[in-house]
Amino acid sequence: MKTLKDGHIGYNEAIALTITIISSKVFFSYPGQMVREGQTAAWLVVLVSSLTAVLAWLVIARLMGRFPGKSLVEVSEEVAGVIPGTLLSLAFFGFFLALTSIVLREFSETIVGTILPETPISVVASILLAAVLYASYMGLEAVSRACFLISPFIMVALLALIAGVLPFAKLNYMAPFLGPGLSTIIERGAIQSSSFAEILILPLLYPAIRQTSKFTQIGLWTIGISTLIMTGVVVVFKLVFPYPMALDTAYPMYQLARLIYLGRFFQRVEAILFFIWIFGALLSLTISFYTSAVTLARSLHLPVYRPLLFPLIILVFAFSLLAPDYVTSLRIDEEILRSWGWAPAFGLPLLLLSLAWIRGKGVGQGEQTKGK
Amino acid sequence: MNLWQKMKDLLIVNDTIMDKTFSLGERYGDQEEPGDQDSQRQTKGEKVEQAKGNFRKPLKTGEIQKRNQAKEESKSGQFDEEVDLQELKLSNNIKENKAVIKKVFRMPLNKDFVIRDFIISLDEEVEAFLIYTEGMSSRDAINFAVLEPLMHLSRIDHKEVKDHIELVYKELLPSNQVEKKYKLKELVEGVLSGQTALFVAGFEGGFLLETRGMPSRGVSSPISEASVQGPQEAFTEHFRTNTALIRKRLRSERLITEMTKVGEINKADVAIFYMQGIVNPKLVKEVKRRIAAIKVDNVTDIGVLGELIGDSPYSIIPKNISTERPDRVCAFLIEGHVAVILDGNPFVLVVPITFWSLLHTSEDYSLGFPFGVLLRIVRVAAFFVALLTPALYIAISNYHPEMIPTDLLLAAAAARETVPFPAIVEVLLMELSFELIREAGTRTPSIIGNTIGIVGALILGQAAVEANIVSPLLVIVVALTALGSFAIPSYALSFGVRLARFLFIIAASFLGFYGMAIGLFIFTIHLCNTKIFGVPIMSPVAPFRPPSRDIVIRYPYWKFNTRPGYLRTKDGVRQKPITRTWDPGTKRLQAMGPEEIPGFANKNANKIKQSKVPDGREKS
Repeated sequence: MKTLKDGHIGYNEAIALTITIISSKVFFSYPGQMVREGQTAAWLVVLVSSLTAVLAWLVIARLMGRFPGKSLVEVSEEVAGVIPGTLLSLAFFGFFLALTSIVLREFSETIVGTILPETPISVVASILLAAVLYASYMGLEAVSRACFLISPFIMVALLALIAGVLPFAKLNYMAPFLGPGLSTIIERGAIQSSSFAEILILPLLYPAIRQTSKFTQIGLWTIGISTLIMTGVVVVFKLVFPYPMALDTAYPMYQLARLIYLGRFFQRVEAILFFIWIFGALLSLTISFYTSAVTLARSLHLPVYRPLLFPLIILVFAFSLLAPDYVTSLRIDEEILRSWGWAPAFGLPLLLLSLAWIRGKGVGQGEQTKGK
Repeated sequence: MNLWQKMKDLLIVNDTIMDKTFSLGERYGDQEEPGDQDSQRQTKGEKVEQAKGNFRKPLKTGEIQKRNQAKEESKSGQFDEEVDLQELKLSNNIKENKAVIKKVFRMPLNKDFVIRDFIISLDEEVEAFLIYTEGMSSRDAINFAVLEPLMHLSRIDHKEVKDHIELVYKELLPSNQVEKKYKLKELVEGVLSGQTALFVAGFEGGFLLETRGMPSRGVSSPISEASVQGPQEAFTEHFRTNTALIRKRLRSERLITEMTKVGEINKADVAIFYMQGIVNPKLVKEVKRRIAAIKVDNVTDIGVLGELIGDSPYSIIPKNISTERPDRVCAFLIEGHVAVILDGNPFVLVVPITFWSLLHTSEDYSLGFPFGVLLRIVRVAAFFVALLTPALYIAISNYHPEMIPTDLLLAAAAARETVPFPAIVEVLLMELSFELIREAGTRTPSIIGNTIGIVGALILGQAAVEANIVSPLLVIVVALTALGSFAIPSYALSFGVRLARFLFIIAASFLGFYGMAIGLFIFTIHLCNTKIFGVPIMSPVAPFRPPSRDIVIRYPYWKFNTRPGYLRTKDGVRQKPITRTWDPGTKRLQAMGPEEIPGFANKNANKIKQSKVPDGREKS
């Protein structure tokens, strides 16, 4: 049987890819959401969630280490049996499809709300999806390389943005420093590990990664750098806006960018931010859409994924317009995707790992070294 | 024909006017042209003529004679007879050979070929003749190095003549290149390229003598890739001059020149250059495979050859570099690229390339490290300016006027106030006029070229603004774009940018920054997806392959220690990690092993370690 093959990605591209999809959410409602979770101690929630994600990542890495050369889809099939395994894989597929739809809606709403107020949202979304379709069609290699090429620019722009708003920062806005209290922070932080759920693309695209020996390392670097970016943005957001204001800011990054004032000439630099913003959104949409298509193809044992792209993109478009308004889609994001995202992302791999242990599937740690 | 005759023509039935119309296709009552070699068609044509004879006007006697004569000519192969070089064979008989040669070159009809009969006076008289192409061969070489020895020196006493062919070959032909050829096809190709073919009685073949001396332009300075410092030599149209220009600069026995031919009817010489031991053998094989697989009748231009062997032919990104600078070709060769020369073209093709090399010039290396970096950064900026400026103007003026500072906004608005068109029309109008100026400037003879400048500057610049057709801001935008696109060193890339610019203008006019960003994203994905001879065009950045010292920032030359990794060269090490051994600053590095030196690729370091460490230590 032919298995799906779509190029290879190197160590750096894999890290760039995962960082992009995880941390591009800082452009959307993420900072506001963190403030709603952790109040003035929002950045602590981010840190706790990142630590949880590290633990969860070690579980995933251990699971993948037992099945060299196989993606999570094949692993779940082997560990849980054909039908339950396929159902599990379809859960991963569903997660990424839902993610794509939600991000699409949020992003299109942001575009309509900020720069193109008179354009219908369906036009904005469909043009975005056309670009996503093209990029996914070109395949993983092209997308990962584009990611690697573009992400430094996004980072530089982000740093410039943070530096630009620092004059408005007031340390008072951070007080009380522990916000709702340590126990709440830890609880919310553990749940918010869902913000790192996109790291699932690594095990799902496992066969494409060249340096699988550094698989754990790739994940750790990804989580580390993403945490830096996300914490930085949340801290600055919190430093600049007082708690009540931060609570109901619709477009946090946009609000931040609007503040920048570098003398009389550079007053309105948020337009420049649009570029990196759109790039971040396009890349993360492409990656999650691509992953969902590949996961579906793998779980159904299809040798190709490209024929699935067009039907899936129609689905994404339809799903994204299901929510009646922006606020509803935000609530879906916060209350379903980000409150329960940890379940498919980290719960299922843990389940699979324990099943593998019990049923004795895969290569154990000791056997692995023996094999070498 | 007087007036009366013409009047008479109107009154009588006379359709001779039909015979005067000329057509390349078949027409009603078309007589079979003399020399239509296909006998089947000929008989068919005769039948048609017979059938038509019933209602056609009777021919005059003179006409019939003429037609018959034409038919005779066609039968004797004078005009357009197909000659199959594979079928014709050479023989011992010199008369037959001469007939064959005459047939091949369509001789009395074709006047460019010269046959010279003569006699070689050995013990017995041997008949011989030679054939060459007038104008392609050197008169002196034929007179003094071929005819003179054969006709005069043959009278000198020779040792016992056993085999007069060997005698001619070894003693009587003082040319530097003499080859015995037995295949008619090779001889014919030789004659067509300016060599002289010599046929001697009793020899079942011919000698091919090197007598080429065709008119060609001398080596002049580069036109499209001028540099201030650095060499001022450019390739010419002459094949051998070009190969010599490369060899002159790259004196290495590793430099291999492979010759092949391309084109079915016009067999043009193609030379493939590469450095053996450095280049990846798979790359050479692939280049040769693609060139050999071309099945077209004629490859006229290096651009056509590049199109025929290039990947993704519909992309707007250049697929190869065609340069006229020998020094640039040599730099590419020594990195492990492959160069292709096509006869008659003053440009040399280099494959594979990366996007970054399209922004490089040889000037970057002639100048030192910091200045080369400056030049390249300017060029990268030029690329973006040429690509995006008009689109930015449209996006800002149509969608995001709040982005510009208030004072500038007011000035721009005041300037645009009197302009009756929307911004997009204004921009397209100016861009189109600029393209017209550019094209007109390229096509006009240089003597009247100045007029174009005046027309462009005065009419389109000043007058258009004064007539309120365009705003002065836009003139600046268009001028900036033009400067940007002229600063891109690769002619092919600047064309790609010109085309992409219009797409960006359209995207910006529909959706402002949003459309531009989406366009830029698609452009980036397209770039990242393009591969040329298996090399991703964005490498060594995406995919990332350290150490890369020569992308946008040109490092000091002593840091170019490895060859580009994306070429997967056989020999990845370019020079030792320490190149400035005289420098006291490198003392510390010299004490280190090669693998410890920072920035020297691990893979290469291992290679050096293996080769440098004495056997005993390696074993332990």
